[in-house]
Amino acid sequence: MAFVPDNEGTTRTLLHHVLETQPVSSPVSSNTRSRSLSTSTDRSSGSRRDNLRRTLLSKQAKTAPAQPKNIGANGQLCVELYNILEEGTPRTLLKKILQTASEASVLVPALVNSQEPQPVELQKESKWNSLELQLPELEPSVTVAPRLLVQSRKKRCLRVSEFEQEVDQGLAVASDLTGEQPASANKSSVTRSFNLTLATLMPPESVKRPGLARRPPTRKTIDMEAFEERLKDIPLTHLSGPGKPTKSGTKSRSQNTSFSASSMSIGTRTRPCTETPSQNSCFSAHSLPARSSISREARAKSVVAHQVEEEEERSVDEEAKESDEDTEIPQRTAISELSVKTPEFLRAKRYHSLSQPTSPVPPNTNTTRLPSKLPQAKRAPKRRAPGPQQPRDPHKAGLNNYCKVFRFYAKIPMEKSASEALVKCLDQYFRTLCDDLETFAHHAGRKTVLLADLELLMRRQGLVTDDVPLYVLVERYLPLEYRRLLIPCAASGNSVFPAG
Amino acid sequence: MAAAAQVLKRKAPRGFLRSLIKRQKPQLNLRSGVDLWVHLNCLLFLHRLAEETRMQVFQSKNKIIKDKHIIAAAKVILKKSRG
Repeated sequence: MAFVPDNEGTTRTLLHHVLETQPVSSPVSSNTRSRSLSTSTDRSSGSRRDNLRRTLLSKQAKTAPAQPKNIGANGQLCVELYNILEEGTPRTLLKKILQTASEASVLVPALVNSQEPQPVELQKESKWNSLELQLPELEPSVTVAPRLLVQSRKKRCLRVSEFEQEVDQGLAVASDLTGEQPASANKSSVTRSFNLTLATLMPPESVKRPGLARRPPTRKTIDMEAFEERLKDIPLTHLSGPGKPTKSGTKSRSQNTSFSASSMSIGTRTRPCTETPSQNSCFSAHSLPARSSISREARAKSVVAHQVEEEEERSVDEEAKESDEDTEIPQRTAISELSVKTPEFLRAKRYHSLSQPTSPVPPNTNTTRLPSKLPQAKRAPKRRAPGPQQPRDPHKAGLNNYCKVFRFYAKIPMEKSASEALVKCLDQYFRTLCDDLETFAHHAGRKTVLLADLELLMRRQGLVTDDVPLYVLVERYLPLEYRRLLIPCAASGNSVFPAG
Repeated sequence: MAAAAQVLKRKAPRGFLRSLIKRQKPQLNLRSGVDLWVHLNCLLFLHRLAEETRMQVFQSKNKIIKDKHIIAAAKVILKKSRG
């Protein structure tokens, strides 16, 4: 654009002029100010411009911290520019401010706008580039309106630097920027923007990833080493680094929990033992048998392990718990001997999510005692499990699902006898439900139960009324993903999904 | 119910429900989406049952649910859910 060379000077000079002449105040009255300033800036000759550039930048640097003020000043300048250069109205300016503000960093909203429509595009491109971390892309965009880019970048950088550093540094940057060539300046600005974007990007990524990413793996190694250091006479043959499969780790964890459960009778120290090993398992996998043996031994050694484990516990407990809970469920299917026992153990004792898998192996002397006790303890809960197997277990498992729902709805602690009564109620309910559905289907001369049958049932139950239609219940009680499946929506082309 | 992006955390146990109904009424067929509605029905039933149970608990000035509360509540709700 023809305005490109002029813009560079005008924006800066205008800014400078504004900063010099009028005290920066609230950006509200940008319109009025712009008009007044435009008239004043018109008077300012071009001769000033080049001289004032650097001062402008420095001034910008100084005033940058007061962001709203800058926005106001910039807005004024932008408005001036528009009045002077183009037909840009305050409205368009503000629009651009909004556009760029959302795109770019919060720090540099107005300056970017002050350029022109081109800068907006350029900024977008630059932003894209910064986000994608691609310098070469910047350069072609830079060539389009290098000066504008420079200005925008520099200003952006200025703001950023000021935000991050002190004003002096910002001034230094500004001076550097002015001295540098556009490309390098852009690069530096881009890198700074890179840094910014990177900084901003990091936390959300870490938040997104569940569990493992958050927990620093370094902790594990440190703990392991500490353990090993403290427990000198423990033959840590089985223990390895945190590079073991998570599965085994979790299983070891479960084992540990089961062991701890068994050891509860023995002493409370077992828990810390299990917790510490589970910690390691959280992060990475450990060999199951190694862990189990280690955990056993760890329990055998109460004294030494206890202290160490406690320390590990605290550190790892929080982390491990979350991961434990996630991994516990898949881990229930035991693989090795120990793991086979542990799930039942867990069910019996209601696994505590423990963190640590491998604790420092306790001395071998005690191992003889504990292992004998542990398998016995393990067998005890195991005997409970065998009962009416097939008709009951999956059935009860499914019903337990609904028991959980009931507990959630009730919000009051329940007794064991109450849960059994609940199971009976559910059984009875399902029986009546099936009978009703069959009756309805038969009444309609069908052998398949349709949705209409269920709706009729709900109506008769008093769940669905004229006030409360069926789909409202779906929205209330079912997860969001089911709405698409259950509530027919009209799609384009005269089709309804799901098909009625 | 936690809102899950891809994995549904509170899934309806569709297989369990279908097997349940099949066991009870082998001659009965189920439409494909019907078991979800059955699940909805179960949730609503449990909800009403829980409400009634809580009322029973508060009436007896307890703070823990006991089986007598549940049984008394179930009497009422099962009668309601008769259809």
